[in-house]
Amino acid sequence: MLKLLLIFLFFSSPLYAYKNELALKGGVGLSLNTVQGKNNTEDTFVGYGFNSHFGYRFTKWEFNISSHVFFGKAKAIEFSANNTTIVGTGVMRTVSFGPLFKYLTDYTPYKNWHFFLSAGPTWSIKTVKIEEYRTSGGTFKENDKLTYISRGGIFSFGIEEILNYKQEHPVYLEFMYGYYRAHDVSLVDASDNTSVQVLSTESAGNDIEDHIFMVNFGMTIF
Amino acid sequence: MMKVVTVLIIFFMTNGAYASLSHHNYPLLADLPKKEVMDLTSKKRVPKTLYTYIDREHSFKESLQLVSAIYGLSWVLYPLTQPKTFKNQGSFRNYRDNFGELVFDRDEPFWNWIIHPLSGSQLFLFYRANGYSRTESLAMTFISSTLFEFTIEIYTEPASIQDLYQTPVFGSIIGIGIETLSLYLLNQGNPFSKFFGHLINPATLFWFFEGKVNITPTWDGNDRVGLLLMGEF
Repeated sequence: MLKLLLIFLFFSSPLYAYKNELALKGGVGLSLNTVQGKNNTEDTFVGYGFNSHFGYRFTKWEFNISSHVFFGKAKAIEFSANNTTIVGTGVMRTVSFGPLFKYLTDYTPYKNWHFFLSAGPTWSIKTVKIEEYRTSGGTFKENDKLTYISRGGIFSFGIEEILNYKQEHPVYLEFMYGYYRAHDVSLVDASDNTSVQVLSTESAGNDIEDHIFMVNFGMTIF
Repeated sequence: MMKVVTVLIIFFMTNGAYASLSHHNYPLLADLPKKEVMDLTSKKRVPKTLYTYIDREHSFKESLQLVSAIYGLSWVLYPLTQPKTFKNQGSFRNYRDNFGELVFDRDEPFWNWIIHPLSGSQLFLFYRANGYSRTESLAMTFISSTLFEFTIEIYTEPASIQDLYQTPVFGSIIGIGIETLSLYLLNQGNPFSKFFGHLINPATLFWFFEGKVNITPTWDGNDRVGLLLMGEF
């Protein structure tokens, strides 16, 4: 433990950066998603996405309102909505929002790149467009889609360039883990894309769970 | 009443583009067509107007007036741009029921990722044109779009979490792209580029755009030439 502390102090350098300012950051990312559906159906797939953070940086603390968006395709997952069981391939789009608290440490593993940690609760909507499916009970049409409202949390760590001015567009590299559990599911008729109709909304009964590992790469935009 | 301030910046360039005119037997500045001036070194047109953004401080009263103007305009534009939705789904009963509600909407990506961010980008550019910095413009866009979500759009549907975030944030990101591209186009000096520069960034056309600087080439008759930059804000 003492060794770890010594290593930490040895590689530490004081933080000189822009502070007490609002900043907007954004970037892109690759994700590894594990989706658990009904009846222990599960699939792991690689996806992609983007992230954005708008918030205030104090000296070492940052408070951001963050959004993560990721896409992917899960095969052979069982879904259930409006008394219909659907088994198929789901093309998924997840959009999450939440407050994210971030702490920039003095530890610099490389030049002026500082190690940081961040965490926060998150709320998300997952839209599932189902392809190549079979159904039992109820009605499910080709243009219907499922939407899941989930709650969860995000934990991430990474390194961020510390520069004097945000106009220099400091860059960050982040490793994120997110967990989401659905609490509401809606069956939506999307045949008219100018005005979608919600056909039913019910408790998801924790049908859908997501574990997401994501590598994000981005920069301070302004 | 707009205060007019003239900024005179004269760059004398003894070895610059215009100075080289007489040295190389190029036509004199006075011989060029009246409406067109070109840089003979780079063989590019010199635009008569330089488009840029000038950030400045704003009073609370001024910000309130601008937010109010956008708010009023939103009440006019919303039913005009979405008459079908306004007529079929809108009512004051909905307004009362939706007041204070905040939900995830189920709209298609076309609305959430194209229409709302594009609207946000134009709001962002409106505030940029009025002299707000990028961060301030994002904050003002957030205020305007939040007011729209919570007090106008609820006539037809509850306020949406996605729209609250994506309109100002994605709008500002797109806005910066449009800002950069439009400045490039506007400063090319040819009518074709200028047309598209104004088309993607219409706020540059209006009286409130503060980043318009007139350029007048100057020449002392000998070997000293320069540019006179004149702006109003």
